[in-house]
Amino acid sequence: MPKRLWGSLLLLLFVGCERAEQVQKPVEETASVETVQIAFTDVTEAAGLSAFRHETGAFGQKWFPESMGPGCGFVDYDGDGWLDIVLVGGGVWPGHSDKDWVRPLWLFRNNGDGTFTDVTDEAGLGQLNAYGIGITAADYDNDGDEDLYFTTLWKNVLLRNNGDGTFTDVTDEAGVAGDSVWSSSAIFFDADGDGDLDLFVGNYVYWTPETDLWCSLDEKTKGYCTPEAYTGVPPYFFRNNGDGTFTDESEKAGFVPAPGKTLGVAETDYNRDGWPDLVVANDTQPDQLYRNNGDGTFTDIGMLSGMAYDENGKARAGMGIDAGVVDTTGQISLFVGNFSKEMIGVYRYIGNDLFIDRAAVSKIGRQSLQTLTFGLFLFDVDLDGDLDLFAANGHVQDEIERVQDGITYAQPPHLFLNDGNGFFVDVAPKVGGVLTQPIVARGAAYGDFNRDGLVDILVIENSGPAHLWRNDTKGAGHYLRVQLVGTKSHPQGISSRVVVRVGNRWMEQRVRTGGSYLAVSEKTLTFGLGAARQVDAVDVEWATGLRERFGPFEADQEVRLVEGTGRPLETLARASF
Amino acid sequence: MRGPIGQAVPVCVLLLVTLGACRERQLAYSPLLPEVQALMARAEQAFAQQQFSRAIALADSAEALQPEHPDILFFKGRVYTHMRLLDEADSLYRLVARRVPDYPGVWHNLANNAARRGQFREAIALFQRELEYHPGAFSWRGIGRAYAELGRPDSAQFALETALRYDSTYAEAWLDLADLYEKEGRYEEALQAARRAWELAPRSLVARYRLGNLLLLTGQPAQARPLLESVVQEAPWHQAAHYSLGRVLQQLGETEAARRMLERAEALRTLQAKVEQAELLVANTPRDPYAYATLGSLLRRLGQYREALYAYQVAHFLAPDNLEFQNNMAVLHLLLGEEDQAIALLEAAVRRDTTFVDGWINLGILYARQGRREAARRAWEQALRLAPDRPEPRRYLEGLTTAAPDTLR
Repeated sequence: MPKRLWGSLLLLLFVGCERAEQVQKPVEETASVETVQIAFTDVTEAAGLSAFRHETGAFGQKWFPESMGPGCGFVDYDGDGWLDIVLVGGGVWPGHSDKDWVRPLWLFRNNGDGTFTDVTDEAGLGQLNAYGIGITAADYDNDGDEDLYFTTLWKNVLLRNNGDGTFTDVTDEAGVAGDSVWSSSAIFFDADGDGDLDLFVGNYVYWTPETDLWCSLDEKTKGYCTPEAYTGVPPYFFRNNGDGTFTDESEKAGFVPAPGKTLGVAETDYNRDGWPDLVVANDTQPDQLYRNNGDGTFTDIGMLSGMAYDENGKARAGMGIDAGVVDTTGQISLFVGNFSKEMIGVYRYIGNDLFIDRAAVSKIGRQSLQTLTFGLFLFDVDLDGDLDLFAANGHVQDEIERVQDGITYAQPPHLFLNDGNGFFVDVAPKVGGVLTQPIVARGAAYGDFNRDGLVDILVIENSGPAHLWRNDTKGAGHYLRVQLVGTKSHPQGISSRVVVRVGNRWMEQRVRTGGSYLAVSEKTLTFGLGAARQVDAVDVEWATGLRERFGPFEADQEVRLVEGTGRPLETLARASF
Repeated sequence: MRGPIGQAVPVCVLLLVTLGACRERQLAYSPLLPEVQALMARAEQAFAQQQFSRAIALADSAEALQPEHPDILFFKGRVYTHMRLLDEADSLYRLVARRVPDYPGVWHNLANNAARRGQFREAIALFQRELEYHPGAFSWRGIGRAYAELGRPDSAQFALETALRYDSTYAEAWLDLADLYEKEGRYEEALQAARRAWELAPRSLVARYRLGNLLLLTGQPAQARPLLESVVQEAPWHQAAHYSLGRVLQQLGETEAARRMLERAEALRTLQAKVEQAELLVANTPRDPYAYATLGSLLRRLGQYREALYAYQVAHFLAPDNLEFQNNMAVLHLLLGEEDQAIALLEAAVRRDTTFVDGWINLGILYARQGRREAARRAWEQALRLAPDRPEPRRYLEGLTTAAPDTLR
């Protein structure tokens, strides 16, 4: 398998302790929730992103896809360590819209000084012709640079990074176009631990302009349809052949039959057997948990595990999804964005392939009943050592306020602050500023674009602009940022698990793509350390099964951990099924 | 995603019916004439049997004798509300309110209709108007539900607790309070409220389900089991109870039984989702008889025969000449064990259209089930005359001497 490592520094295969540029250092010796002032600043215009606007092509007929996009993401396409931004531009309906074409995909290069430059054209993305929906990114060919997989209303597009700042459409030769159907969120992950990335693509419903249905809130004017009216499209699973091509193993691997109507997908290892599992959010269909059987196949145990429905057995309108450890039990919790009048789904693993519903108990449920959540992800906003939850909201019916009190079209986001025990409070109203600004949000991603250790937020609106919200939290905790470099595992360490140990505390995250809604976030992991100035150890469980310990490390830096250079730990015993 | 109306708007039909039946009269207007009272008593009886066309026809007859009498207008408003014809109902209630502003229940019923439209703020204002004239538990409960829909749990809790101060035996208000607590993760308080509701209304499916589900959520599967089993047994269409019972069995380690129960829940969910879509269509097109017929057909498949009959009765009200609706209503009466009512409906249908072949065939079947062989023979012979190519009447006639068919078409 061709494997070109990222740049000359990485070729040295050292355990790097590269100190990130400190744009803003924590000023307090200690940090606690009481002294932290969470703040976000809208830097969209200053960053040079304000020219972007998502286009739906709407011309009055309210065609279903217009209401659902777009996605967005943080990528490092040029490998310079600074996060670049990719935004899905949407599309138009030729013959109906006032434009014949719009840019379906935009790429902005991070200049390293807080500003970005639109490089869409010079990257070779300026002539794409698609109705864009979502985006994910990873180094699928292990050549050391990030490639893009672009989901659309028709055939999807794989854009290979040429390593010189340009991309080439290699969809057909790679065999990942899929049929001409509406795809949504996609995820690269190492399903079989062979060091190259496989690809799961969520599909939504069978829709064409010719089969568009007349739906209405009041039977007088046409409104956007809901998916019940359409047949779902099952997902694709493409196994990476290791030579730049993929094989469609959707059925063979156990991903179909499936109800489709998928909007979100996230990777986790809920049962800690070392194999990556997938959790899938479906719209008006049961959510799914694809347990990795460790033999190249998966089994959907969503219904039996208790994560497929709400507490009354009702399938909800699943949108964005994420998974992570949020409390002292150390077990994985799942979070699923849902429709208004439906709580954000919260489930915690309790063993034996079972989850319990914690939406209400976690306090997220009641606080999320009035909002319609699309993008949703876990991150440590205040670096206190536990994962918080961001939820980007916005309704799909622009006339919803006319027919239902208490629900609005544009909605402010939620920022659920974790108390460390899996109980959350929405601090967005208290934080104020951009977090109280109603928007029609869809995709949302996280990443430390200015490398100050605080994780920033990228949100994109339907038929509107993108927003870059810089995390300007005062008094946040210390941090350690961890980047993995795989040698036998995937070069970006995707599908590997990282555990940071501080005293008797430990925190874990995975390197992964997917999560949220139609989006891709950064792959460098940010661990909040609170008052701790040192990390005792960083344990890495590589996707290939190797377990190593690195560290100790001083806080407030970014480290690169190279597979095979740490102190070996007992290698994970692979479960067999 | 899901349409915003069908799932969100609370249905307060029970409240409406209760109010209509129990309100105390303050006669600021002339009493009903004796002959009008008699007509209205028959109309109430027809309404109780969900014979909407008949109820309205009787009320119209009464109104011809005492035009625009508030009692008659209010009654018709209740019937239209029950059929989800909210605009017609509101027009009648407004007439009553204009003539007799303190007419018991009129603002309350207007409030309920506003809530059904998703206009919760207006609903609260209307409930408060009712409370100005008639303080009581019903309207406070309505306010509580509306506040809950608006995402104001504190106000909702206050209103529900006020309702319970007026009437501490109000089981539905205890259930609403339990729901409110449950959504906030206050499971112990939710459990207490649900248990109180169940003690007050032990036969209530809703009370048994809610208490059972809360026992499950609070880690008491063994205690939840009998409650949920009783719901599943009594209401084999109850998808949520099947799901909760499946989870209970899982927690009790009965893996295979749990799997079967969860698979049954999933099958019900698929059908239930279609029902919800049909209900949304009905809410959006309340004057479309075929929307109701679709709903009725789905409810019948789900085994909710009484609810299916209701849907077909509304369809029949909207399209009285549609004989298929009557035929389906007859089938549902039969499924509910109401054979005489099924026969009466089909007899009326073939009187209305003597060429209604399916009506004659089914009438023959019902006659035969009752042992009325001669009547059955005449009905099938009539069907055969009308449709000589149809095999069923010939086959039934041939078998008349042996066994009677036991299923309607």
